[in-house]
Amino acid sequence: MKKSKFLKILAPIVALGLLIGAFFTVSASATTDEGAADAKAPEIISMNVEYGSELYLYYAVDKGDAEGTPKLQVLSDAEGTEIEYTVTYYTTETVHGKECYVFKTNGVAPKELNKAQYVRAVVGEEASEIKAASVELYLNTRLYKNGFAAKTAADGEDYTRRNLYYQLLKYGNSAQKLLVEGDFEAIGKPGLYFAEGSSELNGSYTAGNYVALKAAAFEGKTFSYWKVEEYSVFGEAIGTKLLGDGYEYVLGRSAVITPVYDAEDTSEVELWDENVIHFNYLPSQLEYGTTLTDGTREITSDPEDESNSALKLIPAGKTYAITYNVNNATIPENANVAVAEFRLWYDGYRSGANSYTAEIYFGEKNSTGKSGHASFIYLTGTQVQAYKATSSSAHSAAVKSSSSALTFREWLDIRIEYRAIEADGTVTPQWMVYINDDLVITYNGMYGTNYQDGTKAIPAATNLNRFQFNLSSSIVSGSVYLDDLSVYYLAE
Amino acid sequence: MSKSKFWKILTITLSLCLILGAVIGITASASDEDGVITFDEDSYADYLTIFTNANFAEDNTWSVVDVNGGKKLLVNKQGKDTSGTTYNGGTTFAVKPTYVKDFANIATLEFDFTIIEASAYDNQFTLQHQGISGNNASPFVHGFTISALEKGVEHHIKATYQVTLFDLDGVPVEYEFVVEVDDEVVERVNTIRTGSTQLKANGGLYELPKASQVDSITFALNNSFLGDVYFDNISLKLTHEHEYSFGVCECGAEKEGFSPIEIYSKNVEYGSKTYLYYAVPKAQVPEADRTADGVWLEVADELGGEIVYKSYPQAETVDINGTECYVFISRGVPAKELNTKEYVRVMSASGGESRVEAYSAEDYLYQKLYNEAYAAKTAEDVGADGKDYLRRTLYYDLLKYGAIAQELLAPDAADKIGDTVYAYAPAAIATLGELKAGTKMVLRYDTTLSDRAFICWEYTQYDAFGEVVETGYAANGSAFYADGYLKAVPVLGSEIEHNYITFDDGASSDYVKTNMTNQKGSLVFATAGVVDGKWTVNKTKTYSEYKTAITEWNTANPDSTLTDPGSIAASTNFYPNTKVEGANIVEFVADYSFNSPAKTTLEYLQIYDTSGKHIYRAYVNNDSGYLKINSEYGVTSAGEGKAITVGLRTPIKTDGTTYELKIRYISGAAGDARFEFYCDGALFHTSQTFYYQKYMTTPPTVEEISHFNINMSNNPKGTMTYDNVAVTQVYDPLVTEKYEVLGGDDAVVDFDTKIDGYTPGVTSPNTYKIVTDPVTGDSYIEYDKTGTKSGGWIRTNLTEVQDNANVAVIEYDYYICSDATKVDTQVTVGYTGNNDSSTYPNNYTTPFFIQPNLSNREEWVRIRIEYRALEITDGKVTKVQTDLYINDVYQKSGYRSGPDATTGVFKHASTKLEIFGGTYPVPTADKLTTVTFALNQACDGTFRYDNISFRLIHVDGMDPTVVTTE
Repeated sequence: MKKSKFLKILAPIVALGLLIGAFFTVSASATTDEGAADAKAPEIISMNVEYGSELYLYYAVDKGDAEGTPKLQVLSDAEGTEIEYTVTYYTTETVHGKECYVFKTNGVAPKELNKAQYVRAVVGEEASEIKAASVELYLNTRLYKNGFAAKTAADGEDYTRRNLYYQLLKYGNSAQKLLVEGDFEAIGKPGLYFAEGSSELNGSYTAGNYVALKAAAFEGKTFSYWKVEEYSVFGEAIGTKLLGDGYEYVLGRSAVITPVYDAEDTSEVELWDENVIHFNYLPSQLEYGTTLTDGTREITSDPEDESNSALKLIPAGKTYAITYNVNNATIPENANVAVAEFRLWYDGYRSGANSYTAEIYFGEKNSTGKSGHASFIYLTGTQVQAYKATSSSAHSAAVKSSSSALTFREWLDIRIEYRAIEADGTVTPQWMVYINDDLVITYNGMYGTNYQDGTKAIPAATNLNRFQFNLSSSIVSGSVYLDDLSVYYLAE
Repeated sequence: MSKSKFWKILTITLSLCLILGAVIGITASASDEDGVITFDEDSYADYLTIFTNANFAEDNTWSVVDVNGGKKLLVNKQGKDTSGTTYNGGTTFAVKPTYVKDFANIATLEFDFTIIEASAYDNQFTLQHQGISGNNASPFVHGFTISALEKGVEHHIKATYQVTLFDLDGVPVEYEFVVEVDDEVVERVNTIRTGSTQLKANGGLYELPKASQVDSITFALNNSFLGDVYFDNISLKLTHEHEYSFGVCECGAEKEGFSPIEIYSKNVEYGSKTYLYYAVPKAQVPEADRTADGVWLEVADELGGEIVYKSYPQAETVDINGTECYVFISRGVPAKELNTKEYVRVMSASGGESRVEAYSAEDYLYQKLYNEAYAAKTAEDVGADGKDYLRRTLYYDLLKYGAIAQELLAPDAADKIGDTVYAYAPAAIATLGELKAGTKMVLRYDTTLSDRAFICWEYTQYDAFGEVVETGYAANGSAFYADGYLKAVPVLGSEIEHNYITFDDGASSDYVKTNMTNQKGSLVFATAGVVDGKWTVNKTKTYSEYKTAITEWNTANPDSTLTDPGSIAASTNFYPNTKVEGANIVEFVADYSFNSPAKTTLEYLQIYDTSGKHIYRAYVNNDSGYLKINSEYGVTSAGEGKAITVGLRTPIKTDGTTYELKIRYISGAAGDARFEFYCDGALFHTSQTFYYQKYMTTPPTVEEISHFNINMSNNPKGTMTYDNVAVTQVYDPLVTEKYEVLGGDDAVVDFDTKIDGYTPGVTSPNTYKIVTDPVTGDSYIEYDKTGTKSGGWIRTNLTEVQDNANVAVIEYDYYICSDATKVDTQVTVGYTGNNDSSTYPNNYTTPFFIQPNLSNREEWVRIRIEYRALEITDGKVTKVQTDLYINDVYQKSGYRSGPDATTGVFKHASTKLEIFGGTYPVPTADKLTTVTFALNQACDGTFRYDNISFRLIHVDGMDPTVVTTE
């Protein structure tokens, strides 16, 4: 987990009456008193939300060393470009042991639960930093930082609070959908709550990011797995996963994550395979094509499972390449089979000329192009085809085609196996392509002309350390998803 | 003023007693023109009744005497009768209205009162609560106490009663009672509304009367008062002052300057609070008031309460459906108070006024959901602006948010958000529409809307927040109680292909075959004029072969049938002529009639399997003009017949009327497989009785059914016809829903699909009728027991009996109409028609009865009564329990003449009951046979009953404890 990927969280917890405000986002700071460097400026130390009679935000201001009439400015943005209005009425409350001014800003409409409110406190001539808050931020803090997301019916009133927080978010989301025109950031964001025993921070996370689940050590206890109870962003239960330690859990839903120790049954625990590229993020070990315009690749939700992330390639009329150069250090001794595996999902293809969807190269790192590619496999709309080059600029028609039709709009498990079979002093390459564990092609040739004419030797399986996936330039619409890419070697 | 000058306590309590039966329009007057009883004329007796105890001689209690040239009423209450015996009885006066003005709305009692002399100890003077004519059921409205009246001085006493607040339906809810002594107000009482518009009096509930309904006022000298007093100038005047409601007085007078305004539309703003908007047409606001502050919205928290919020119209008028409107924004309500009603009215400076309306955000949301059918929207329903489903979601999300906020922040709120449920079902096919909470709705398919066969309803029930709580299938005529949104979709089968045999051509059919033996009768084709097809057989000829094409079997051969009744028998087989792969039903349909006055066995209805065994067999006879089906089931070693179940009288008359008869066999597992009998489309009987024993545990498949058979017995008399016959296999994947024996339609008299099985009774001019609700399509029985008509009843015998029954369960829906002023209904059980009349009285009355005298009005209430024996001592029932449930909520156990109110045990714990002069054993539940729902004489109003059942069921663990003494 990279901290920079997450919201900064400041967490002063303040009780105001029955309600407890918890955190702020800090957007900018400002001061109107350049000559008071040593004096403690006013500070907005707490935010709170009232939902009993009316929805609005409270702010508690520690006046510091400032003297004078207090007020709270509600600003147009984080920079404080304009003052939208000023609140002069205040009460005094003891917050965090300090005598604070408490201001109440205007009411918040449900459709604007996630609209940031930028505020600055001014006491006399002194001004505080500008801080930002929203009702949504407050609710997420209560749910994922203060742990209300994990409350159950057994917790009585706290469970009712949990449900209220979620239902208010849901109500706001519904109001927003109905009443707000145009594009907007939806109310309701996933968050993770880590139960006691976790080493992770609690709080809201940005959807699409991941967090590596790392268990804290407990003396006398053996970590078993992470119980991940997934919820919609409105708290509706979705399901429970049991994940192994180190699992890169991707934030697509809200979740309550609990470390479980000394479990008797761990048979259902899903383990994390570090050798598989899960596309929870754009991995650095991949090279990405440079011929495409921006925005044609992104890590996004699996089209069939919102909680899973995948690499989405958006065709833009140009071939797009992903190249995976395998570190030779990972290749085991005595290996004699090279395997490239990945999952593929695509919308379809364009019929007619150049109707293929993608081309796959699997070969030696330094041998590319029509003379040096070891294999060249097409995925057409309906078939898997193997080709061989006929010159430095051309290749033949398909030399092998699968008879089975590929299906669209569902995940395909594709596995390419390569063996260099030696018999009687002759090395014969063997390519075997599996779709969903069905062998669809066996081909005993090489694509590159250098291999065909003997300029280059038929490579050993362990030499195949370069995997490339090209999107067809003929694809002009639709989406292609890749996930769970791995290249590995087996000893048979 | 020294206290010793006064009586220590001089107490006068005045009660207003209502004799229901309004006197509006009466223009009586008292003994003088002013309506005041002066005692100068004898006519005072027309208006004043004096009740004294018979132990007092009249001249010792009261008399009209001359006092200073005028006459007064002298009351001597000395406490001893003429024989010197001490007596403490009081003296009561009842005054009828001495003056009545049309549309009276103020009742004023006045009299002059002088204490001439009294003993020091006889210092109480109390008015009694009883009404005139000994009608103790009259409600006591209000009493008051007057103290410290100076002796020897004539005091003028005045008491005024006036309804000061009516609810939005015009029912009185608050009143004011003012007492003056010598023009000084000594008491002013404004009742505090308690949520009920009824008064409790003498064990009954009564509507708070309007002043115009005050029929008498009583007052009395208290028991212990001893002394002499004068009364004079007594009057009870019912007068009128204009009281305007929506600008008009009840008398028709219009408020000066009044201009009606209608709250035309309502809306909600989803803000930091939820804001209600009200719109009124600008054109309805007097022109002079069309200014920024010339028209306004008033908001009160309760009816008649203080105005807590006032707002003026928004600067811009709004066009609502082509009407230019002023829009007012009410104060917002927090989420936890979404269901709190506010009372709003729009007023204008020069007399514009709207009616008061009670409204809440919850009302708005449910009206949008149900009245405008947003509840029925799905994600595919985008509407004109693409947002219909989003609206549905928002409405429900706000309601749920409010409900949770209320749960957290106002957990003690009496009315819960979401509890005020409405129900809506689409009216496109079912006869349904907007319905309010607690309303029963019946799914009834309109067969004119589709040629396809109706199979069942597929329904989804949602809770108050739009969450699915139940899905399932329901038969036509099924009733639901409104508890949220009900979505019901008719499931229509692929059209059933009936291959009707019409016999019109007189042709033979491979599917209809008749076997005649010892026939003496005629067999004819029904086609008019076709005589060639007539088969006439004689006594001596015997057929063992099957003949084809029977349409009419005439057994009433005039020449010899009556003299040789044992000679005729004929059997007709009907074979499936439409077969469907995978079918799970076989149905026989025919236009059928039987015309026979004979009361003997007429025929057998039979269904055969392919091996020749009887799957079903029943003999059919004539039961007082109706066909009666008596199913038989197998008990013999051979596996076939015959024990006979209790016969069922069918709706089919034996007078030759033609009916559409349908018999269905629905295959399924044991306990689910069944036979259904329909007459003109209505299910009248379901049977699970198989004649061949093995089918009781292994019901036959459709393929095992060979044919239906109608077998004329050998001694019938009459003519049976059938035409348009079809035997059809049907595939219906939904009908195999598990068959529920308990609670099946067959065991409920619902006045819809099951209309027999009850006996209504009245004593004229009380009347009853079967009424069908035009909205829901549900039928029920309604009794008109208004006024002083004699009582009525509805009686039902057992609708279901289970083996080893140990609990008697009576269930029914009960509805008190708004006109009911006196409710005195009861439920009794008895033993009519039981087989042990030597032990138990063959009588309709009763080892127990219950009086669920509810206050509910205009609301169907489900009542359930359970009766069981708790203990049997030495073979005699010594403890029983009777439990009452209302709307499935336990209320209490037992009561009068039966179980004790608290213990649920018979008061006497006796082994005998006294019934009509005899003593009989206390029964176990299984001895009961009859339930009677009685409307007693005291009832006044209209009452409805529906869905009546009386079941004897077996419940594990409910057997009585058996005690044996030494």
